[in-house]
Amino acid sequence: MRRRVDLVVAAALFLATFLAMLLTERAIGFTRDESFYFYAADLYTPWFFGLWGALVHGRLLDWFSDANLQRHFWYNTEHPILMKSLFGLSHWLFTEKLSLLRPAAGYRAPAWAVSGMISALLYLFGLELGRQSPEPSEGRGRIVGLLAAALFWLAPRHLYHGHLACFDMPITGLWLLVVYAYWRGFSSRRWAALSGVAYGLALATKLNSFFYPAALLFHWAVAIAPRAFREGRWRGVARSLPAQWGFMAAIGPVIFLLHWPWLWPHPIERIGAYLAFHAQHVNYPWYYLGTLLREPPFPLAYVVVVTALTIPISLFVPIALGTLRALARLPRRGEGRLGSLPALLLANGLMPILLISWPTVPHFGGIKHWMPGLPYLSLFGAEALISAAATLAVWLRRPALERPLLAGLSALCLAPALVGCVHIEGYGECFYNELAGGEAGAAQLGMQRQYWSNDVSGVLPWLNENAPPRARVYFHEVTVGSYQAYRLNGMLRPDIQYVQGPQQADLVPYQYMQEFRDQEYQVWNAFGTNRPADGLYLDESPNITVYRRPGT
Amino acid sequence: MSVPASRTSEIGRPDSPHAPETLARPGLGRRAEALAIVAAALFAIVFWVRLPGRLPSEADYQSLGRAISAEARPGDGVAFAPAWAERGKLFVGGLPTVTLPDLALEPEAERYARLWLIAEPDLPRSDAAATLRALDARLARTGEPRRFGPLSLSLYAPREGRRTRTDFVAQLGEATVSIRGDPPERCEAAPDGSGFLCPRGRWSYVRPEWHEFDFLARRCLWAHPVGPEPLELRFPKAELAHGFRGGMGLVGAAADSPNLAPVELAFLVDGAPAATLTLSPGQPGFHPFEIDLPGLVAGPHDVALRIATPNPAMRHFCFDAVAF
Repeated sequence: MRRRVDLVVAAALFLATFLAMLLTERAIGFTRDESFYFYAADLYTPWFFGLWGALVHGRLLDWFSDANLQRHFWYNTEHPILMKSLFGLSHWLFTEKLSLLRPAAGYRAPAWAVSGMISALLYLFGLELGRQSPEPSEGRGRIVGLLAAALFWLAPRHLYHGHLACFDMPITGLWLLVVYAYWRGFSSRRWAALSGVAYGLALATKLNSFFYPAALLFHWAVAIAPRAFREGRWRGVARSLPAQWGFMAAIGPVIFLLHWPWLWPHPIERIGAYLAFHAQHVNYPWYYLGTLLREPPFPLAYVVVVTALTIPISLFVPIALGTLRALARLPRRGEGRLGSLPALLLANGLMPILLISWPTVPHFGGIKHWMPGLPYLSLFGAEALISAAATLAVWLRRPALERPLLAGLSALCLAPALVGCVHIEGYGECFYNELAGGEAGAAQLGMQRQYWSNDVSGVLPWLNENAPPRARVYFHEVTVGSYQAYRLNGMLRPDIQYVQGPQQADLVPYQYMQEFRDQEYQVWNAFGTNRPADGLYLDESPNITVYRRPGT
Repeated sequence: MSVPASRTSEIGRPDSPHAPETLARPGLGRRAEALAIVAAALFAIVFWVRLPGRLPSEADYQSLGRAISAEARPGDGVAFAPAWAERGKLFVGGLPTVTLPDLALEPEAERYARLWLIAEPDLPRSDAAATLRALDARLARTGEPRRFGPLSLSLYAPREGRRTRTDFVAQLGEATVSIRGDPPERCEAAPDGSGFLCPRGRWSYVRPEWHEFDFLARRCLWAHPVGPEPLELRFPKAELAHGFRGGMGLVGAAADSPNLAPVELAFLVDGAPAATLTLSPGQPGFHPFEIDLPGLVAGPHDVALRIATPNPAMRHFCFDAVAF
């Protein structure tokens, strides 16, 4: 009975998260990468729809020919196609066929579903933590799960990523699914097999999934293998190898290969090309504490510092304290499979952080590259809140007040984060926390203000109102695809034209990025003025500055 | 889930690894954790409660803009503190603006007859108060700063003897520009009035432009030297009393190379050499200078600025200079 209740709660969390994304997505402009994925989605989906026709008309071999696969899948081969295909199919269904969602929302909806899944899985993980504690407690587990979901989603940058038709939140969700199935797989053959399926989906989502199994290996080595060795020496160790690994190794690559038709004619060569792209990924310049980072080695503390400055401080402190406490308990708690859940969560929480902290790994994209670790750490944050409430109750010698104290403390911590989410509106990737001093403090500290070009949405209403007919606009970092998406979604006047530089432009919405400072001055030279006509100022920090050629 | 009131509830049961060690007295670490969480939450709440009062509204800016436009005079400039908080540019009409950190250390601070400073000392981590103090020390402040909500407006002027008498960038139109070869080659005024076009190619011109030096905007005269024959800017009636000040640098990647040629900027007053500055290769950034000319009679002088280099390859030279 309780189990059904919990499934209902998990489903409700899924739905609530999905709806939250749906209701707030209009505020978020289109990122550069989204414009690429919209286009890729439009290229890929006809192949799937054409499959039936090819079968009926006996042209299946042609349909699977390299030439035809290239024609449909040549674009954006640096990422697997699971999410892009889902974006396309969702757009076709919800926008083209049912007219339920605007075009951008049609593409984005699958990412919201994954976001919903994250909420549900965090709740289920909370239950598992409750069950695995020395005195199993579903009540505690439920609170942990609910608080963890709140802690994760009330970080404005997470909320922002949850909206996007990109891969960062999807890989966060799918890896969480892998870890959940992996954990359940210790006591269920079915879940063990499902971990293989989940891993295949993760491989089909983003490259991160190649690295994250190291966290599972670490968990086994620290939490399972020592006890197995004590009990059965090497034979015991061999027996303790999780069956999930076998399923992941067997099913994962098959799903990866099957989901991506482009690989089929030349799998080794094309998988090699896919991996090579990322092995040689460029280092985008990144502004950090007043220094423009261009080349490795990058500062070792970068990830920790940026996390500490971007997650609302009232969330960051419990998350950090909960994580440290879990880390401190690792040696005495991490024994045996069933007692090892904190170790598993820790390993997966810290793995992405350690990976990106490595000084030669490219540092860009805000927090998105280590965001997949935060769901696990949010669970520890939830435990820290519960623990703090219990401590306060005992300290005050009012044990009966523990629940009200937990409610109050949670509200105290979550409310400022919620205010932060509302305050930053659709520009979540620009959010800096109270410790940083918000966006103004971050500007003073010399931190990256934005990076994905979507903030231009903040000045589109001004452009629509003030641009002359057929105005030529140099959109700076905004891609042609994003420009077209703004027009298609009714956010930009259709007569406004896209030009390639300030010399041809009547208007320029310049995007402040430290590495592009000279480009703003080129606009001033081209227009003969450094006086803006409008701008998007986040807590006074200029993010987008619109320049208008005098006389237009 | 019901729990006897006399016991710790299920979520915090004392024997749980998540719970306090004892009912009677939680350990110091536990108490510190709880206090840290409460403190962080309170800190965050105070931040968000205070923030709206620290951010100026559109109405604040409009009031400030009206005040400036009512009192502005030709020759005034506007600066911002913090330097990045330049939203005020939208509200100061056609006045020239300065967005340089460490403004008090910059020649730009004394460029204008009067400098309006729009400061936001209440912004989180704002350095405006320090900027105000530094400007108070270098310039003469007129009256007390006025407040427009969180915005502070101060008016400064250069101190005695520091006033700009000729702005060679703003007054470029009064110059004659030529290449001092044999015979001299005259650079013609550009049709749009923006500067002078010289006969050595598309890059050979003199014009005020903004360029980036160390990520900061500098308005300077692009004056690419053509070789040992000096590129000369001659101001026949430049007001001059004490000397010259300004800055110079090489634009873009050209500045980094240590293997290219040096650039010389020479100042001639009434036909006599007054000073020569050399920008050596491999010196990126914008290099301020100040040249004192003691014994000079204040008044109009024939001032020539000559730029030369042994090898003009990639000498993307830009300089700013005023006479004071």
